[in-house]
Amino acid sequence: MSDGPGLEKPMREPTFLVLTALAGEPRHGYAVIEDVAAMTGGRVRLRAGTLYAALDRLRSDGLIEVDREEVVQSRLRRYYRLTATGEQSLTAETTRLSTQAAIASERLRLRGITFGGAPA
Amino acid sequence: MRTKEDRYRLLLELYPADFRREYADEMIGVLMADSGPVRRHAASLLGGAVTARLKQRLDGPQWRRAAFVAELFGAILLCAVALRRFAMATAITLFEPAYNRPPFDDLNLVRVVAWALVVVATLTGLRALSVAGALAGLAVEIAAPSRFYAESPVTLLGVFWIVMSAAVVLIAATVSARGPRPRGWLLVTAAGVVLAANGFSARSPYSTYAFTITRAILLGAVQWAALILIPAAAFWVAAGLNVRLERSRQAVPADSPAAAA
Repeated sequence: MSDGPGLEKPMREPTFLVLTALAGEPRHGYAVIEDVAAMTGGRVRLRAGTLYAALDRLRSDGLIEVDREEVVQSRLRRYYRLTATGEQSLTAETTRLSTQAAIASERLRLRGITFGGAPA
Repeated sequence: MRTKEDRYRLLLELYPADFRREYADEMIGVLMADSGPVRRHAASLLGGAVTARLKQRLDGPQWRRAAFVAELFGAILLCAVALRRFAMATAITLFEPAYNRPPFDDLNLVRVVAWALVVVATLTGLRALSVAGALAGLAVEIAAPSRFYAESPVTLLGVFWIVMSAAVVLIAATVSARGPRPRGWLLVTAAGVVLAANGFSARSPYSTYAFTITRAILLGAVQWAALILIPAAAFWVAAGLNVRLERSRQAVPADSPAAAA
């Protein structure tokens, strides 16, 4: 469906996490799984099937591309990186989430709840 | 004895060949790097294989158009079948008053309205309305034979194709993309009119009851499973064949007469 940018559906969490993992630097599959686990404090442990379904989808949507391939211990290791489109997409989603979080945070502040700087 | 890698390779066999060619090697690397048991990833590999094969079948925008056609033609058919029951009830009231059956069934009225609503909503592109109508229609298609299931389970088997059609129309309604009226819609509507009108030829409210049923044999788990799985498998196979057909058609040059079909 060709709606305007404001009407896109919110990104699913695994997609967002994979793009965020690749926003830092090009990574291979296992590194993405580890990075996502670290980011979420162990809450999200991506499994291979889910990860590669996401990678394949992101590739065909043009949000990521192959950075390079290496052979490590006689196994293929493929590194992925964000494309310009992927960067735009991640930026848009981050803005959306930040805006919503800012509104919630302000309202909670008014109720007397304060937030620390870093996550617990 | 099968190694861990062998077991992962076996699971990866479930994926379509294209996907395996592209990702199998690196997936093995990722899987073997995890020291956990095979079953940790097994469920996601199964799900991933089904997703990959489903993506293969739902290739390109044409499938939404196919859903539109299924939704429209399906709703016309189901409306005609429901109207036919009205015709039957009317015929029996007029020609066989001795049976003294109530002429109109409330459930059937809901059914007729629901499917008619789906036809109209499909043509006008109102998805919420067509989904709501299909939901109501499916509910009645299930409820109607359920009234007699305990006495006569075979009635459910007789109308199960209607229940399946209603489910197909519902699913199609959620994913269809509206387009111009498909070729043959007039023919399908005419067939629906003939089908409904045929109901007037009914003279007896009972189809065939040669004997009294003393103990109904209800459907077992295997039969229920078959009723659900066989249509799903038929869809899977048909969709797979259709993808192959479409791919071979795309091999035809764009400006040839065959491509215009």
